[in-house]
Amino acid sequence: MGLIVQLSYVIILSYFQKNYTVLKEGDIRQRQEESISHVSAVLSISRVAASTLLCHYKWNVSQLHDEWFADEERVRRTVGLLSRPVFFSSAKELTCGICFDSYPRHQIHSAVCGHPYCTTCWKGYITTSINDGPGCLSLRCPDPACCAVVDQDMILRLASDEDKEKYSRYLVRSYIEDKKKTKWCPAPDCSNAVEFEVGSNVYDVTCLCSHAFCWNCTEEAHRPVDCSTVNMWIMKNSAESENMNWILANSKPCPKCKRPIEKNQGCMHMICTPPCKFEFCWLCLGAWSDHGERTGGFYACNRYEAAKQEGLYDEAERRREMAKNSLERYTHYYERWASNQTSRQKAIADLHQMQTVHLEKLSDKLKEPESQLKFIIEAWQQIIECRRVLKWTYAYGYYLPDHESAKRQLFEYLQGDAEANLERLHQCAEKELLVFLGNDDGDTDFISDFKIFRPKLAGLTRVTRSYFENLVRALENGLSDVDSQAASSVSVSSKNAGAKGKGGKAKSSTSRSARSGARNIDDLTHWNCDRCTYANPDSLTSCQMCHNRR
Amino acid sequence: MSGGIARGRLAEERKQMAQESPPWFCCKARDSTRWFDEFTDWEGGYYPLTMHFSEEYPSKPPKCKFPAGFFHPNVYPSGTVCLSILNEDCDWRPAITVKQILVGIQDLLDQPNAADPAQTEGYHLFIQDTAEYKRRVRLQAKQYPATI
Repeated sequence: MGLIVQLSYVIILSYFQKNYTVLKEGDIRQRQEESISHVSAVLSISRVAASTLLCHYKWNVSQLHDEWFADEERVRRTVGLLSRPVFFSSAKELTCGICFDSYPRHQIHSAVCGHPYCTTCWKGYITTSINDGPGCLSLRCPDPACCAVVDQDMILRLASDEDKEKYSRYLVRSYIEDKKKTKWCPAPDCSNAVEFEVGSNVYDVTCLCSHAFCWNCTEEAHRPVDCSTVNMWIMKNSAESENMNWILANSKPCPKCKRPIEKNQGCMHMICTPPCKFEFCWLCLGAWSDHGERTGGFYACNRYEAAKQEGLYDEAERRREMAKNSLERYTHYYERWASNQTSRQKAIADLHQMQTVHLEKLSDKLKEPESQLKFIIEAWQQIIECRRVLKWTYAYGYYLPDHESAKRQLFEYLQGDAEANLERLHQCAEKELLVFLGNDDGDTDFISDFKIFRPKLAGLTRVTRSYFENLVRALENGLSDVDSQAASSVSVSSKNAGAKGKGGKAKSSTSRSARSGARNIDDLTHWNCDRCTYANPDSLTSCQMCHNRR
Repeated sequence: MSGGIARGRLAEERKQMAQESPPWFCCKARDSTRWFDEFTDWEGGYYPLTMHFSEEYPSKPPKCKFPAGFFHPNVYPSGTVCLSILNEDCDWRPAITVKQILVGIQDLLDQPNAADPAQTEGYHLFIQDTAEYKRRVRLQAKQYPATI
């Protein structure tokens, strides 16, 4: 039972609890104004002074209050909000402290300190400072010994329109960039910011512009892999990408007829053009018939077996061999990482196409409302999310130490399962759906075919989701299930005595326990397939999904 | 800052310095200032300092250089002086005068800033081997004798 509770907790965590808020440009300005008004009211100072103080205290209202009420004089001194002028002269003509020329009093301006400078020099001073960057928000009097602040009013009075615009942009930026809880969305041309509940440990956030990124490191979202692994991986990619470019170069020869093939569809199931028609896996270039059920569900394409060469080489040759192996190893992971990335891009485009074009046509043809076809959209969303997770698990796999063989086995097993299911789902959403998007009219065959297709796609979506949840959870635990192997194998084998013997080789008993959590979700009127976990009605004796017998 | 201020302001500053310049300043050539320093290891030297003023002065600070290879923890190998008030991104303000810069550099000579080293040799000797550091400073003072 513990497993079920834990699983539902993970689902809730990842799908319902939102630990961040997206702020639009208007929201940001509004909040900023509110902070300024609040401080100005509580401390009984002008709004301009409140804004200066808040900039200095990084918009932390409570810290500002604390320090102000503890020692107002000290705060005023550090920020430069002087209460009385330090320089005063009653002369009719004053000498500007910058150009040293004399001017009548009305052409001389000063900050609160009273140091006199002429209009031209003030304008120059302010322009230089604004063009030097956000430091202009805490501009001080030009006198080297004076700490008086040059406030917003003075800057807006003397700066050009262009500079005023820049200044107010810096002010908004400081509200987001100086605070610990807020960051800008890193997507190009997006002006939203994200406020994050500090203390939460799920860093993935999605901006309103639909860009999903990690709040911690602002790279694209990479759950369940941690930021340091992602960082290492990205560094490695940029260092070796020149090599990779020509190694991968977008095309591969067909394993049978050797014609070069460029992959233009999302899933890994490739079919060479006639007359060859050879079906193969894009990743391992093996025949597709060797993948999947006929070989006992053994999906070995995510595994990297380094060729072991023994003793007979001389030192130089051995080193060359090692360099080659390490490059090959990296290539293996990089290729899978990059393929999933492109597959994901394609899936995003496909989803968009589905939402904007096909869905409406399909709903006309089937005479069903679009809301009834939501399962197609959900399938595509699941594919996009899974491609993202799968992509990052290859970075994870690259850094998983070789000597932790139990962990590696569990990881590859979970990843392989998840990947195999994703491929089936992707294929179903991409290829089988094509039949229904053609131009033929909605005859009875069409509608009854669709009736079969609907539960299949929905079921695949659900199964794939549960596999990926297992994978995500296992990686976030650091594959610690391996350590508690003995304990869980006892409890599981007593509960699921009937589940033994399937695809035995690579499965450790712990991974079986992880799967049993997903299996027990449905109620008693269903039985769950041992092979693919699909929940079948009690009336059936073989699985609707994979035809495995009960 | 709009063009033209640089020249006017420098002329004004020269006028003021002629009236009240401290005895250890000795403005000779148009851009060059030399002085010696009393009662320290630096005493007796006339260290030539070139100040380059751009048209943007006093919006931007002048660039101050000793001869290349000058021995001091805060002088770059090129001779450029590393001082916060001479850095436009740091403490430079347009109201800082040439006189204040020179006083600042003179203070820096005898009180190097260990937090901001600009050359390896001077810095290492300064923090690790005081005796050798002082010897090198006195040696350098002799390399730049009074020429008047």
